[in-house]
Amino acid sequence: MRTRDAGPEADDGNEDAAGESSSRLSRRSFLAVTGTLATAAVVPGCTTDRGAVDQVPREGPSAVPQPGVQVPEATGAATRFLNPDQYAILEAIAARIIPGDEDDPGAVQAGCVDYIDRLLATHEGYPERTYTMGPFARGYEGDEEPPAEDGIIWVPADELERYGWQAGQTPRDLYRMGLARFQELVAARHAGASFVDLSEDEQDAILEAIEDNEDDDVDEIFDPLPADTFFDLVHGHVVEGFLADPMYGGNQDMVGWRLVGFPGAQRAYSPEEMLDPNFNRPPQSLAMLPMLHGAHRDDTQALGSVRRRHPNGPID
Amino acid sequence: MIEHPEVDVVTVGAGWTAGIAAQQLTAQGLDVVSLEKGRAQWTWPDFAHNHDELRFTHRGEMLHEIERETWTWRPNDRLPSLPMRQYGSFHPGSNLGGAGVHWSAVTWRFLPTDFDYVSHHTDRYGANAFPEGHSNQDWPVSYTDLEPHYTQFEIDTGMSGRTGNLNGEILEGGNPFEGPRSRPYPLPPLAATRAGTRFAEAAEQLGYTPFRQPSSILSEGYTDMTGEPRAGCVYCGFCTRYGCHVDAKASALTAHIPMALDTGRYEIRTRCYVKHIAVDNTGLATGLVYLGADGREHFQPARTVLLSGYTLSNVRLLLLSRSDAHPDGLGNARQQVGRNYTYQIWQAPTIGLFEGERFNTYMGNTSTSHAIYDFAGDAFDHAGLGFLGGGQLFADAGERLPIGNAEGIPAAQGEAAANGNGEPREWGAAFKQRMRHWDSFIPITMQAESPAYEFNRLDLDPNYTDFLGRPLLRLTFDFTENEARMYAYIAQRASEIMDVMNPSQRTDNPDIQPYRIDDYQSTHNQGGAIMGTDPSNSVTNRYGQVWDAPNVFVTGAALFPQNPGANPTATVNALMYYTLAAMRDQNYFQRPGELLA
Repeated sequence: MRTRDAGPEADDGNEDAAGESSSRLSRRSFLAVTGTLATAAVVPGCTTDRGAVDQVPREGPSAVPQPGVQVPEATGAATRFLNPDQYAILEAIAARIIPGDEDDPGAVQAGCVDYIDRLLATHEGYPERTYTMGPFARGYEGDEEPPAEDGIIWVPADELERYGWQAGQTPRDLYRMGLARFQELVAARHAGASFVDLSEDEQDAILEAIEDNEDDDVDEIFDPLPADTFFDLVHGHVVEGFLADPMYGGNQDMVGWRLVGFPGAQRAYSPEEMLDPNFNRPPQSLAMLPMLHGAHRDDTQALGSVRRRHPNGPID
Repeated sequence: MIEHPEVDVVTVGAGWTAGIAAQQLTAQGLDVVSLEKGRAQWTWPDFAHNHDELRFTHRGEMLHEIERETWTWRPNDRLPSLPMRQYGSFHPGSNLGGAGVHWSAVTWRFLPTDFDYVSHHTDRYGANAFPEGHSNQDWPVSYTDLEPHYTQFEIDTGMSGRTGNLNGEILEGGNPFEGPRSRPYPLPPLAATRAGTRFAEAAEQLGYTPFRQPSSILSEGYTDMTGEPRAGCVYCGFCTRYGCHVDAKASALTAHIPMALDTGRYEIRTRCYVKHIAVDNTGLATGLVYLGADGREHFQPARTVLLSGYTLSNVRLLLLSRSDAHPDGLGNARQQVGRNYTYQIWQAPTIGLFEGERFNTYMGNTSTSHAIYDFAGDAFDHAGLGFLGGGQLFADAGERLPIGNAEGIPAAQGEAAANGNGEPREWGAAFKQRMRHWDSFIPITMQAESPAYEFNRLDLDPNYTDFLGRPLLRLTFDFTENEARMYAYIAQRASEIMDVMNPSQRTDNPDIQPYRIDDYQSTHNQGGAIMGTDPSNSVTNRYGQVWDAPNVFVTGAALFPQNPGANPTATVNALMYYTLAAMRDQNYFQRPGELLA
């Protein structure tokens, strides 16, 4: 009996089914980890079967020398959560997810890994409201449900993905564990080499292997973390970083918006512009969007809206 | 426990129906308190600078606090339930105004046959036409009962649309299948879109009747019930999950709540989390117990309690309000609470890529698109089709934002799918190339109905709890064969419309996708505390008044016996108007008791 996630369903081309404003991408990016580690501590210091492999990253390099601590050479890139090795590997992954160069910028030029680094630096890296109470689910294959075990909800593996995010780990933990296993997989397949040293074709083959999660060595090395979940996590964050407002660290110079042709944060379009087949307006970030009535903030009536605050009204 | 002075009415939350009730009741001299779990928010300054997809759409800035109270789901009772740990299927709101602030504002009236659902379909197709295990019921109110209240709501807030049926006369350009209106829409429809127009031309060529969707977004300046003007839509494209920065989109914040506050008889307490309904030894409600913003437990006594939270919150509060008088939860003496939970279908049967064209889909709103109702409800003959029910079709033509629409873009001719099995990888050079078509594709989307079944229901979860250790609400729900056939039939019609639109490449989804909790579809959860004709088939009477405790009123979509497959807000609010009119006409507050007639 194997106990791992069935992996994300192949994309069905149905992104806009949400219609009202699809958030399909972020959903797909955070598919179930199946809680297979629910009972295994992943906190650094609590040794588990994989504990030795999970690096404890420094939470941002320190510039202050401390006795007995070797100060690393300045990389020029101050990171918040990722250590320089992790940063470099993620950047190499991002470069294959959205390739680019100076003339046609991609994820690296957009600063997507800086986006991820900032994300992970806050509140365990949870990007959104998340219910974190147990028990956690665990997948099983075959017809027979495993014996009941306290704190585990058994779910047929092929049903798990309909339930969405079920991870018992924080996004920080998933990056720590996933990157360590990723390096291990690369080293095993390429005689100790690092991902950053591989050719583009070799890099793509590794990424395909973890996205598909069908090879025995991938399964073995990543177990109990599903490799495809790690891929989806990184992939989702790279795309977010590429297309989110530049104030979050990615999409620098709005290269993502320029690629897709999105004008960004705009106050208004006219009915005529809605129908104009040649409409084109340069993108604008939220920081570039003029404040509404910044000069006379108290003049709320100028908005044409009713804004009366009653003494009995809400307190905050 | 901190006890407050008694008021006439206490409401759960300060959303659409609480705001409407507060406005009307305070105008009659009654004192109303609302307990809102979220914070205050106003058009100015809170929505003035919010065009940020990451924070609002993906981080769920305005959504209900699922980290402390979520819902569990299972497809059927043979599989375990697990919590929705991060947002997926639906997006209830928090904060002043509730989900009705971050809504899309597509505002349908339900069809006359949605109300007399069972008797209509029995008359036309026979009693055997219903799917196995169904538990559909006629509504205890008719379209005719609600019509004046739909109209009043439309006038009070300002609504845009093209009238299709005025007192029985079918008018060109509108929805010919809608029920008769006593008054036309107060405002003309919102501006047209390129994608919607393309869809409409194709649908018309096939003999269908496309029309502009109705919307609670003002198409031009309008003086609503406050007597003050509000601005018309500026088509910025940030509507769903956002408060409107120019106040063009109606919500309880635009008229009802400010008017109620102005009377001095309305108080909203923010960051107050309602725990249960308190009752006396006869089973009547005495008020609401809640966790205050100060972290202490409070009691707000009231003569009447309005359960005006989100659909799912209202059902859960009934189940959690156990007492000697109501041992299985308030209103649940006959195991009616949780019955007839329904959702709806929201999927895109076909997506066309039009290489080299741009549709400006980031402008405008969902309701700026055209729709057809030719396959909605019972607008078409179902004889021999093997299913009941229908849905509307429309082109996705507004509010497109980049992160949520980066994947699933059809490849142009000659653009390789990287893995060779027809499913393109959403990364690599080919993915980047497809992103260049981000504004060149048009999905045709179906919003379709969800009949009620005995096996789709709500109850309390045995394993998972909220932050206070109380059971979460459990949803047991999946689509059935009836909906699969309905989807396939209407999807085929959508596909034929796409044929006429003649895209250069396309993706078709001819079969329904099973329900899944992780994929956003719509915030149109309905049922669970349904209204009916007597206590044996329902939790409340036609006014939302709980049979077992007539000073408790349920508002909102929990009352709907089944889901008609159209955005529910107009009906939610028309029902609130209907109940308030009955309270007034029958002197409810002078002579409390069961509303009759």
